[in-house]
Amino acid sequence: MAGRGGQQMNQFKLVLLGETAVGKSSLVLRFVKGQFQEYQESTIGAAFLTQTVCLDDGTKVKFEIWDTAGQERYHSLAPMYYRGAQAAIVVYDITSHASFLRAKSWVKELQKQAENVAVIALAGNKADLAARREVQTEEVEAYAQEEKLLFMETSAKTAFNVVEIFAAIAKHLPKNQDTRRGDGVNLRRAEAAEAKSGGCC
Amino acid sequence: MCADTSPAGKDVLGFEPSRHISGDVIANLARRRMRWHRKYPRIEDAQHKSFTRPFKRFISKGVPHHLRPNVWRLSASRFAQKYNRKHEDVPILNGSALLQQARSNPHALTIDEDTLMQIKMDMPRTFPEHAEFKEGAHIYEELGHVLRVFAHLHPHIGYCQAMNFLAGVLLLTTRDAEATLSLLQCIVLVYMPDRYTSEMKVQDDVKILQRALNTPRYAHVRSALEDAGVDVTFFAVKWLLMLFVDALPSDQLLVLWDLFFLWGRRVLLQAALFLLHEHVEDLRARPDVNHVMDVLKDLGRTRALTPQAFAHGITQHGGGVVPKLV
Repeated sequence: MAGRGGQQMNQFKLVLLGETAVGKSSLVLRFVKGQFQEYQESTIGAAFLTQTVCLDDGTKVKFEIWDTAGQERYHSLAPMYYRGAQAAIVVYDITSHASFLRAKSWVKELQKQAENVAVIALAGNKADLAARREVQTEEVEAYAQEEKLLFMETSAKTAFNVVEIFAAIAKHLPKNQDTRRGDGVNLRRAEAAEAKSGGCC
Repeated sequence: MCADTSPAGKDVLGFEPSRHISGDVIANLARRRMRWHRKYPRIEDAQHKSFTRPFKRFISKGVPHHLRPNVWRLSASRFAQKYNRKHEDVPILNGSALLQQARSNPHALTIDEDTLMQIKMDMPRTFPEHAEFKEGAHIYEELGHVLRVFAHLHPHIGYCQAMNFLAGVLLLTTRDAEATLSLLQCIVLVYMPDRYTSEMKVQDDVKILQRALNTPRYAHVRSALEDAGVDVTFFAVKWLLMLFVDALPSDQLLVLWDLFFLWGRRVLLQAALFLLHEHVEDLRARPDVNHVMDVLKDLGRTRALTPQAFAHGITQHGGGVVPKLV
């Protein structure tokens, strides 16, 4: 499905996974519509949205985004949505250590089952609630490096790092070629933030 | 009493109306209300009712909104009785005493921590735009009571996301927690068994739908979806688990639920086929995944059908491919 467009337009399927109420739908709403709602309706099954980002070299990357239901009992439906995806964002909530453990098990599942996924990003959402933090940044950084994941802390509420994480993924996806399992992407947060945020499209 | 009226500018359930309802549809509803009143004057409080063919036909032509609580109860109790005879271990129970307990001393209920937490998190995430689902509002509090008592009564199911929306629509329709609790039990245990557990048997329903779409009759729908790169799983899981809440405007949704309680789960599959068929021109307008998903997300943009026309449409679809399920 990748690289369906012309030379300048690349299209990728991206799936969001993570425990319930960590902010998956909120990240997508912020990224696609620039909005935030304190109470986002629970997602049933999955929701579908698209958004395009422009990289600083002028490349346009269009994401087809699958936002999935977080409750554990919906787990058996997840492969339906991550099958064929080239990118994944696994989301946890920095104020919940349990949600980070859940994120780790999603990463493991993706690495084993989702063979098209070339880039996995880890988003530590609700960064605006740092006072209630349960998950230490350093711990996740070490884990992300080991597993070759992109990692950023984000806040759908303040828009912190939201466009940035999508742009970083866009930057690291193999462009205009058949989807192949890419070599793992190993980069630090500073580099990840380099990718210019969208807005030109 | 006429509950067909609604708060100013809102639809019959108190949501923002998604489209204009034409005068002839409104006139039709008024006419049906009169006919129900003449033919079944005591139905509002009837304890029992035999489901004769004329009565079923009356239901399929649309139930006046203020009669829905009892007509749904009567419809569902036919299924529930059969179910209770077979499942003496986990029967559908009257939860009025427990609801009372939930209101006065919630700790008396035995519910595991995770389930409690999940319910608590989802309460403000249930129709957050709706005036009656704001924290502290009566309906909002009752939603919590209903979900908690359900989890207490049926620990093997506990709470599944989607049940919050179903309970929400039931509360807005019946305005009564007890009626909501028993209808919710009917939906989750009887009409949709194993759909709200980790078995997620909704996948079986999706397969039936896929098979139906592979028959020549639905070739036009199938090609419209394929051209846009849309698979049935993209939308059907949500339609089925939510019983079309969110996909249909309230008036059409309630007619669908009238039929669902009367005929069972197959109505959902038939409705899916009918709605896809009905919107095929819209779907074909642009063979683009975004466009198709937008059409399917909000089926209310098209004309309002009378309940008869909607029910008729549903009965015209799925013959031979959708088995009698419940």
